[in-house]
Amino acid sequence: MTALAPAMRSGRGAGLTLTSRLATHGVDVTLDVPAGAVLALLGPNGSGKSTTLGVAAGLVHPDAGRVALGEKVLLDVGAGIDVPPHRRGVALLRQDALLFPHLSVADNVAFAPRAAGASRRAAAAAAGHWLAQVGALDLAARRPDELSGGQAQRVALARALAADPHLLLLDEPFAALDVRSAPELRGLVRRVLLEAGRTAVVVTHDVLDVVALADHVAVLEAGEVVERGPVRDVLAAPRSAFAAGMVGTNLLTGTALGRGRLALAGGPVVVGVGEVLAGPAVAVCPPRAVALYRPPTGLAEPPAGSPRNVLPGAVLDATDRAGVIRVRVALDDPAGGAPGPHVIAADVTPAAYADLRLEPGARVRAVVKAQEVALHPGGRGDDPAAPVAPDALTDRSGP
Amino acid sequence: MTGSTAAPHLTRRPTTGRSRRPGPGLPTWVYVPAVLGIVVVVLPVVGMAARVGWADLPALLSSPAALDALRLSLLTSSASTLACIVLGVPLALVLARTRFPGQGLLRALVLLPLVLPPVVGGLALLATFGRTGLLGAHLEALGVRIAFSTVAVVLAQTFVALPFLVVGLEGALRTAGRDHEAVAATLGASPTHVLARVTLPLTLPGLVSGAVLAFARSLGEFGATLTFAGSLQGRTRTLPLEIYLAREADPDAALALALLLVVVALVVVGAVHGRSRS
Repeated sequence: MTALAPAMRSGRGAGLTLTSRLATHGVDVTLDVPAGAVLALLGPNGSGKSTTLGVAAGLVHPDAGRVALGEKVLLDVGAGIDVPPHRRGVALLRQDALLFPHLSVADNVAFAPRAAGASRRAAAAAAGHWLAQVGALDLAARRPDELSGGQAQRVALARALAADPHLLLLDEPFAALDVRSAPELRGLVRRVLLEAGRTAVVVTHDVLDVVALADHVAVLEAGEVVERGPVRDVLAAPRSAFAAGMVGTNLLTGTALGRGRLALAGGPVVVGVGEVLAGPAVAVCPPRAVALYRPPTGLAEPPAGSPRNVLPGAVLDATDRAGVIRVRVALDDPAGGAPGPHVIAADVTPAAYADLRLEPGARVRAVVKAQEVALHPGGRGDDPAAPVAPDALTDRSGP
Repeated sequence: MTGSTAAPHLTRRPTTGRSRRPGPGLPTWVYVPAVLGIVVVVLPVVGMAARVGWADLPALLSSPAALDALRLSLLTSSASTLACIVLGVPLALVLARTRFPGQGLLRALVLLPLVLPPVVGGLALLATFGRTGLLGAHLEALGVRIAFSTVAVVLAQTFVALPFLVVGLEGALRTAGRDHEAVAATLGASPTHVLARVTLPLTLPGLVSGAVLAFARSLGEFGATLTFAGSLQGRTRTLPLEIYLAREADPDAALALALLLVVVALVVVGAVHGRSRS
């Protein structure tokens, strides 16, 4: 699968620049999203994420600010410009599907084409196209109250896409879905965003959404952007407390080989569970599932045992996390033998840490059962060697 | 971090109030006053039906005066219901969907006809639209005379019935549709398109029940009509006025007409309510 860098993807998306200040909400935000890129907007509840989306959509009117999509100015409070929501070309997908209950699924999806003046026949054809795109063509004749949450959100996505928006806003789109529907829909959104090169902003609390969908991350806290940057930089070394708390797990990006195997570029092959056939993917495992072995000197063979993942490397550093020692290990590049770009974290007890003498530079093998490693499609393909591992922030316990 | 989000498997559906909710039962004694309440409403109608001379009914109901009154009542009530919809829907929208200083006062003023005695409403209309009234004098100069015409009947009925429609629809607008309207706007629908394709369909039950109440109120209108429009057969003498007049001259005819009024009201309310709930 060809992985396109954001700049190379062409599509109908236009770049978003947004500044917005709302005294009543205590929000003062500046964002920009390049054309065709996807920004993940993170932050605790009440930090102003949804309000910011509302400003972009024209549903919230800030005290001061400016919103532009490509060349088109949508809002400029100083200049008295405020394009109404229906002329912005900005579609919003929320956690609640909000399908129109009095219309069939097909008529819901045909809503935007009809509003744009398409004939009944043309709108129905467009609805059929987009329902097929989200794999919901068989639901066309149903009423919204006959759909499950996952089906409804699928239809809501088709309805938003049928508006052919310049910018797609996703406000916790999978938060209300059950554990089976969420990954399905996440994969679908990923495909839709990648294929068409759409500009999008995703508000989420889930690190998997960030990895699967976004190129860039911005973290809001108390109405202000406290951290921003490319996904791999922020996830590899989160500076904000919120991003650090979110990334409390190992994320190893690479290329899926099928059959639950993931090749880390400049690193070993990791075995896990999850249906990822090919393309960029990410392996996720909690640090407490990673065990560290100190190979006896002179013994080349890895310890014999049932765990499938035995990853040689060298200790980078260790931090005390309230009674547990988190040890970060730089994994060897099998080609070069030297430490590669991938880092995995393991939580060990202080006693084990002392017994094994896990000081920086110590040679270890990180051992993880395949059952503990979840594979997901993800990574925007920009650099499969992006090292992503929990960071050992010493100020983690702070507020 | 996602603790605030419940996970409903099915999309929420606007509750229609029809669902039987399980819960602790009512105390038994509540049924006694409840049944008495029904008796208070139904018993007089039964009493009236018992006094009606059923054999003479066809003759009594087919007199020219009775037919004129029935035709006029249906015509004017339909016209005033239409006027209530044309004026009341925008009024309810403004009250429910916008904010401006003095809105509370406006809402109170809309309810005024509900608390005024109808005769007072009729007097107010006469003082405004009568020959020498505030507007009536100017209309008279233009050759337009409203008082004591069929138009006056419709005006009087609209005056008393408008609050029923506005209050019913405003309640529905307040509880439904806002999120859907926002989504519709982001899908490119102009405000007019949103109103026609989202807001009104979603609040249709409220509109229908408001319109039914307005029609029923118009059908029964008496005091304001008599004061402002008089009692001219075929022009302003609606069924309630005809019943009142016949009461002294021909009590049997009055009872027959009264029964007719009850039947017409029940048919209209029943038909529309039955349909809107299906």
